[in-house]
This record gives sequence, structure tokens and C-alpha cells, in this order.
Amino acid sequence: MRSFARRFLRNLPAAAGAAWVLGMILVCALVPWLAASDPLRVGGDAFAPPGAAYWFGTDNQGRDIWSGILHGAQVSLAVGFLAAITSSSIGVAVGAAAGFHGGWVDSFLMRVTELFQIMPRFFLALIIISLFGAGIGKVIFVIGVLSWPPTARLIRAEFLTLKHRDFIEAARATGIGDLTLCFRQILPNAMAPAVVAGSLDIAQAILLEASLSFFGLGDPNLISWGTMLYNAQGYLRQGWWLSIFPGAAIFLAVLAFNLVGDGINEALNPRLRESQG
Amino acid sequence: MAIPGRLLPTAFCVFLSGALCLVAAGQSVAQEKPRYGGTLIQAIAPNPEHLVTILTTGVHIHSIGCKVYSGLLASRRDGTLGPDLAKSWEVSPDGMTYTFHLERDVRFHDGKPFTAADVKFTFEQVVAKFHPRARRVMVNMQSVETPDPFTVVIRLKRAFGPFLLSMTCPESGILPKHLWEGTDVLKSPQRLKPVGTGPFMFREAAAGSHITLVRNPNYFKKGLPYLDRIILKIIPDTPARVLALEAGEVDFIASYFFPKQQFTRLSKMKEFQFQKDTDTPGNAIIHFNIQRKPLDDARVRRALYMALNRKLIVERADFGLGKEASSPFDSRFPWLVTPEADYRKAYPYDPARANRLLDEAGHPKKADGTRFTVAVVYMSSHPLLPPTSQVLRSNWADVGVKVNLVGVERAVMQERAFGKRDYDVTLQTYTSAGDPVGLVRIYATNNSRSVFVNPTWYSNPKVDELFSKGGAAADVKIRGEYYKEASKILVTDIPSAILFERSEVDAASAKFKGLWRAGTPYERWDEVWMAGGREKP
Repeated sequence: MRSFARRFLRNLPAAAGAAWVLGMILVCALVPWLAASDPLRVGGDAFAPPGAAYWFGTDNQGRDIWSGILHGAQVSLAVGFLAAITSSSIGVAVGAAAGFHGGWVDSFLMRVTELFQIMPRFFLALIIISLFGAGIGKVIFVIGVLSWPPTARLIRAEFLTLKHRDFIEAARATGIGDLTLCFRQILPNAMAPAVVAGSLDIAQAILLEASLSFFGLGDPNLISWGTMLYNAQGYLRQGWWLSIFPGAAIFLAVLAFNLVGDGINEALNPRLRESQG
Repeated sequence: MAIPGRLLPTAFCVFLSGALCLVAAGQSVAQEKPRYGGTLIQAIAPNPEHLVTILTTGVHIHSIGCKVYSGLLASRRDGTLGPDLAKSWEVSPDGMTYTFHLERDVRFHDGKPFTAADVKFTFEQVVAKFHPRARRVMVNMQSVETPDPFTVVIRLKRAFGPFLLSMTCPESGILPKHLWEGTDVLKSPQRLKPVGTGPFMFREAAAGSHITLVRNPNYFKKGLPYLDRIILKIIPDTPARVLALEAGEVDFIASYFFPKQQFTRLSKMKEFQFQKDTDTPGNAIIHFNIQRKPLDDARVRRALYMALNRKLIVERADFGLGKEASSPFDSRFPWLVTPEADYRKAYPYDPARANRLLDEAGHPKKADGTRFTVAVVYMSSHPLLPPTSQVLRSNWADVGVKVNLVGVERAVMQERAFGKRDYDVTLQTYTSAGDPVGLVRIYATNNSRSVFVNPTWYSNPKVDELFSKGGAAADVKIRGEYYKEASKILVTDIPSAILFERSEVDAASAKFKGLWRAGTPYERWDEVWMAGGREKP
């Protein structure tokens, strides 16, 4: 474990990504102190440029953009983590069942996975959210439910290779039950790619939430970076600060999670490890 | 008809606020003589499926059709009606018989003469059967008689005050009987090759690209029109329309197709001119679900309305163009406005008083600082309602009312607000179609699940009676009294309340003069001219 951490941190982009992610988590925890004002509070001072009074300026409704960015971080991280947990859980469960069981269970689950894979994810999310209304819970659910197939396929592949390894055969010979074998012996060894996929899923979920909000389908009771961008669309010529800050926030968050994912992948992958010496 | 230059730009300046009056040449235009020639390019969207005004309510078709077809009458900028194909008209004292005397020397674009038979055919065979809106007015029609080729007598079954409004284009663009008689109106090839009596003739339509209209040299108003050509360019993308205007590729964008938030920026540029209130009066409105607690209590509704900063809403949602509401109808119908029913007087913006009223109504603030929560349903893709909802949320938070914004897709909104009536508060917009009869649907008793009527369950027989009397009388003075009476009840009961009176704005290149002569967006443009043109046609 220590060597993993060392390898991970020696990878500079990955370390930077991790630092940014940790910074965001810290900011989210400190939001009540850093930006006390309600980010949805309409103020008299519209289109105020960035300055001492408003660090990042105000938008067309006189809302403080600094406060919006910080509160938006909470929404983006919440969506990212919760959607990734949802999709990873479904993916791992489906992949493990398919890979371990094989046979008709495998065929059936893989056909279902393919069914979900061929569906245009973003348009389906657009339709579901516009029909059932925007709400943060629905957004998390929709993203989670539509994002699990790649994880399922990864875990299934891992299970297929692992289940015939000698140590598994040995464990089986001791007479332990299927569930124990599955969860105690195979799954821990199959988790590495799932963790990598999960961290990339977080980035994807943040981006998907921002895209949905950008189409006006964000939760109107919450501020999110995508909602801020959606709102800024009409005012590109009036105030650059309306779009630049939420845009940069999304860019950096997605980049950070991708770097972390790549870093974990490299640190865990023995072949890459060797090539790095 | 108003001679060119009669509506002086100075008059516009008085009529509008100074900032809006950006006629480039200023007062000197008044003395300038109109010139001939030039092409005006107007941006419209989407691609029109046909070009016949009286078969649709689509504004993109009306923008084209009312230049090709003429009505019997024409609306004027000041809200009155003037002559068009009918040079004069009389209404019988009981409001049941309308007599129109037609222009004698009018020819259709194909050279055939226009007579009363064309009017009779158009009303009886087309408008009464196919016009989506005017059809409902025409059910009042008893008969159309043509005692001679240049007189039309229309008898009604019962009096209907705003009947003459339906005699203007687009409700009545007169069709040539000789080309349409015996054809299937909904399939006729004439639908894409309009032949009318208007100032411009149809030349060509390139689907998805443009439609070209050319000057009618035999227009019955001698010496008109001034322009050689009008091109209607189809630009479906809103930002692209504005860019085209700025690049000089387009000369005119009607309010429907112009994004209001660009107004502030563009209005500072000298190359453009703008006109407010080019559409028939419309508003943004708040409906309370008066069957649900605590909104069943009028005191709560009054307090909530009082907590709304309507001036700020106008600034943020209508970009400062519209006006804080005063009348439950519209202050742009001055004949029904009364100081006794004025939202601004009855419920001025006053959060402190709203707080007190809510306390008195038995809804004290709880430990978390809130009194109760309301769900606000609105259409999320609407241009005005999301910003309105944001100010509302902020304003009501100030008086301890928690708002759950439910911004949904159009079809979902219609189902929740009008179908199931599953909302606490809903935000909507309505247009009057030029007369307050178009607005009574906001308050009139409604047991149907139809959309864009009254979804509040409010039902007051007294108000309904005043509405039907106000719609039937022919004289606006008498009609006004009924509407004033109803206004007083509606301001007190406040089942629904107007938030602001919307103002639509058209944008145009400053080199064109004589725009905006009509009271509706359906302009003929026969008096529009371009600076720097020829002396003679």
C-alpha cells in the first residue's frame, strides 16, 4: 500500500489532480464560512464585474458568482460521488454475478448490459429529467443507472480470468461457499480496474450533470456550475465573468478526477510500473 | 389612410421613453420626402408550411401574408381601426349589423378585379371554417350579404364588442374567390402561391432559405409601396438572427424572433432602431391554487403578492422593457383602468407589512425561520418565467416562505397546472389578442381542463356576469364600466394576479423609415421606405 502511494504521488499530474480534489472536498466542508450568502439570493447589483465587493462578480440577477461557485462545488461533488457509487455498485454486482456464474446468467446479464450500453446516455437522461422534473436526486439516479455497463464488463472480465486461478481453486477446495469465495477471494483482486473506472465515472457524472443543467434541466432550487453556465449563455457579450468562472470550475474538476483516475491506473498496473523502472 | 410622415418621429419620442427612440436621423425625418426603391430583409423562423394568413395563427406566416393579403380594415398604432379594402363602414346602433363600403378600383395580383363576392367567399367558406382563432368569432355571424359589388353587410346573431378587430389582417386577409372556389382549402396549391390585393406580390419561396415578395405596381393606394422588394430570410437559430442583424445581413427582426436580453446592448448602437409594444398587450401572471391551504386564505395571497418586488421582476425578467402591473386586465386598455382597482395602491411592495399580514393570518415563523413551503410550477424553457421565479423565490424567502421551484417541460407544466391542477402557485403568460375579452379566461369560471385558461378553481358568478356584459356591449365606454367593476372584485379576491405587463420589442436597421404603423405585428409595410432611394417608382 505504501509503495502504491509512493508510485501515485511520484506521478506529478496525478498528485496535482489529487490535491485539487482534496481542495474541493475541503472547500465544500467549509462553504458555510467561506461563502455565507445564499447563492440564489437575487440582489440589486446586477452585472457587477469582479472586484473587492464581489470577487467573481455578480450575474444578471445580482447573484454572487463566488458564492455560486462554492455552493456549486457541493452539488457537483455530491452528484459526482453519489452517481459514481451508484453506477459502481450496480456495475460490480452485475459484473460479478455474470463473471462468477457464467452460463445463461452471464448471457442474460451481458445482453442487459449491452441494452444499456447502446442507449444514447445523454439523450435518455435529457428525456427522463424533462419528463419527471429536475431534482438533484433524480439527476444522481439517472446518471448512476445509465453509467454502469463499462464497470460491469470490466469486473466480469476480471472474474473470468481470476476464477480459474490456482489460489481460487485452492480456496474452493477448502470448501468455502460461493458467496464467500466471490466476495472475500475474487472481488478484492478484481477491484483495481473498478476503482479506476469509478474515479473516471465521477468526472463523467460531473460533466453529465453540468450538461443537463446547461440545457436548463438542473434543479432550480440549487445552484450548480452547469446551471450558472446555462444562465450565462444569453449574456456572453455583457459579462465574461458569468461564464468563465463556472466553465473553469467544471474544467478543473473534470480534469482533476481524470488525472486521479489515470494516476491510480498507472500506480496499480504492474506493466506500466515496470516500464517506469 | 395616414399619409407618410403623419406619425412624426417626435410623436414616437413622446410616446416612448427617450432611450428607446433611436430613429437615427431624429426630427429631420419629418420633413424628408419618402424615397422609392430598396430591399428590406426580415428574419423569420421556422420555414412556413404555407403562406395563407387566414388558415393559421403562426406569426411567421402572418409576417408574410399581411403584406400580400389585405384586410377590410387595418389596425393603427394608436389602437384605433382605419380603412383598408373597406374605405368606410357603419355599425347599427344595436351592434348587430356591420356595413362595409369597399374600394372600387382594386385588383388582385393576377389582374382580376376585387369585389364583395371575394369578401363573402373568404368569410363564409374559409375564415368561418378554417381560421383557428377567428372561427370562434365567426360563430356569431348570421349572414354576409352583398347588395352590390362594393358593399358588404354582415349581420350578427348577438352583439360582440370587438367584432371589428376580426376584420383586419391576419384574421381576414381577403382571398380571390376565382382561384379558391371549388378547391380543397387545406390542399390548394394556392397555399404556397398567395395571390392577394396587398402592396407586395409573392415572387418565390425557397424552402428553408427565403421567400421573396416584390412591389405591386398596381396597388390600389396610388404611389405606394415604396420598397422594391421584401425578402424573408429563414433563420431558425436565435443568436444567429442577432448576429445577422449586427452584420447587416438582416434589416428587421420582429419581437417574436428577437431575444430581449440583447436589447440593452444593441440599443446603444446608432445603426439600429427599436420599437416597444409591437405586439398586442400580454402579461406575466401568478395563479394561486385557492383550494389548498394556506393559499385558500385571501389574506395570505395578498401578503404574498405584497412581498413581491414587481419592479425588480420587470427589470430582471423583462429586461426593464415592460411595466409593473396595475390593472387585473392591462393598463394598455385605458378605457377599463380605474384607480380603485390598482395593485400598486392596494398591494405596494412592502416585505415588513407582508410579514405582519402573514403573522396575523396565523402563520408565524417556525424555529427555522420559515412559515410554510409552496411549490411553484412553471415552464422551464420559457424566456421570462425562470428569471421571474428566481426573484419570487428570493422575495418570499425574505418573508419566511420557502419556495420549491418546479421548472418543467411545456407538456408536463400543462398537465400539472391545467390538467391535474397539482400546484400551489403557477407562473404563466397570457396575451390579449388586442382586446380584454382575450384576458377574461384568466378569471372566468372554468370547469374544463383546457390549457391557458383559469386553473385556480376561482368561480365568482358576479364576475362572470360582468364579463359577459363587457364582451357584448359595442361601446367601449359601457364595456369599460363592466370591466372596472370586475377589476375591483378581482383585486380584492386576488385568485390570480398580474405581475407585469410584458413589452415586446422589434429591432430594425436605422436606414428604414415608416416602420411600425399598425397596432399589431402584422404590418403591411406599404409606407416603409429606405434612405437614399429614387425620387420616382
